[in-house]
Amino acid sequence: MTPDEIFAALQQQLPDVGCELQKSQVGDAWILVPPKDILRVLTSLRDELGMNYLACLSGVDYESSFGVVYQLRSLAKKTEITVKSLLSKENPVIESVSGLYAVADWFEREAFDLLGIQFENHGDLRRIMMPDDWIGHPLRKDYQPPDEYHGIPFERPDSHALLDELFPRREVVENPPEPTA
Amino acid sequence: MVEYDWGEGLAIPTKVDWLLNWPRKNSLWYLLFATACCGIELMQTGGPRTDLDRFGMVFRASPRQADLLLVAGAVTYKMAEAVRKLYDQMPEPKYVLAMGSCANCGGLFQRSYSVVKGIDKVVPVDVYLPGCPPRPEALNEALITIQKRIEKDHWAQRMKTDSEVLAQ
Repeated sequence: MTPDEIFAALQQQLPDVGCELQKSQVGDAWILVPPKDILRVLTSLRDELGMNYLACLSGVDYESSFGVVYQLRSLAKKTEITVKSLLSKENPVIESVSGLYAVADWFEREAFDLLGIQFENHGDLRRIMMPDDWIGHPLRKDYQPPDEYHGIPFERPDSHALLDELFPRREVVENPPEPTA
Repeated sequence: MVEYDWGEGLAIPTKVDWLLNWPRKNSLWYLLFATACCGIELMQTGGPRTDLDRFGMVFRASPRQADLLLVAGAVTYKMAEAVRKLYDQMPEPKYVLAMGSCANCGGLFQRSYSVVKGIDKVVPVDVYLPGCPPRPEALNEALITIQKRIEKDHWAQRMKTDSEVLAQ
């Protein structure tokens, strides 16, 4: 099945959900889903269309919004589809899919740990990689690292100038671009 | 050395420092602490080509039996506390070898949010070994450097000073 066929079948299953098929210049097309309907869409994809394997769940910081990317595969039909959902920058909340796919448990903890995306009804939403008492979410574009952690300084004081020359700091974007494929 | 006949048996006059340092440098048991690709080179160094056994170096899995903390690889802030805990559990005299760029200064991960910019921020380091990762020959050289350093130690004096400090 191509992404277009999967999208058509999904629209037949859930005609009231405002899904969109987004074409991409490179790679396959993907489906954009409103955050409130993500659980219904993934349930339908898993139960009706045979997408029984969640290959990857990633959080993304698009600067103007957060995104959650679900890469689903069907082991029987040998097809795959990408589902994305965009969340607001101020309140990034989305329903957890760990009840549908058990593997989403740790994926969602990772997205919460590094980007601060809240997954509702997850049940065990703790940090998975950073220490429990870490402040902030390090993969956010506007993240500023602390000066020290438990008395360990964050940078070598003698290497600032050389570092800035070798690896220039990322400039803050005034008008972040809209997410594109 | 001159041998004297002191009646019953033989006695060898020597320096206490030499007597303490010689067995220590030739039985340098190292604690395995391999967190990244440097660990692969560390295993290779223990293999037959460079063969650390001929220097009396044997790896230990417990800090309480180790003389040398061999930090091979990048250490994160979360792991740094474990490094400090292991170092504190090791008995004196103890030495630290920072193997590879990451352990020396953070290496590639200079702008990283999670990697400690050198384990000398956490434990005192005796020898820094550059390389990404260093070849087994380089690690061999660094371990011989540590042996040479042990030869110059004055442990008898240091223990005396320590006991004086403790007495106060």
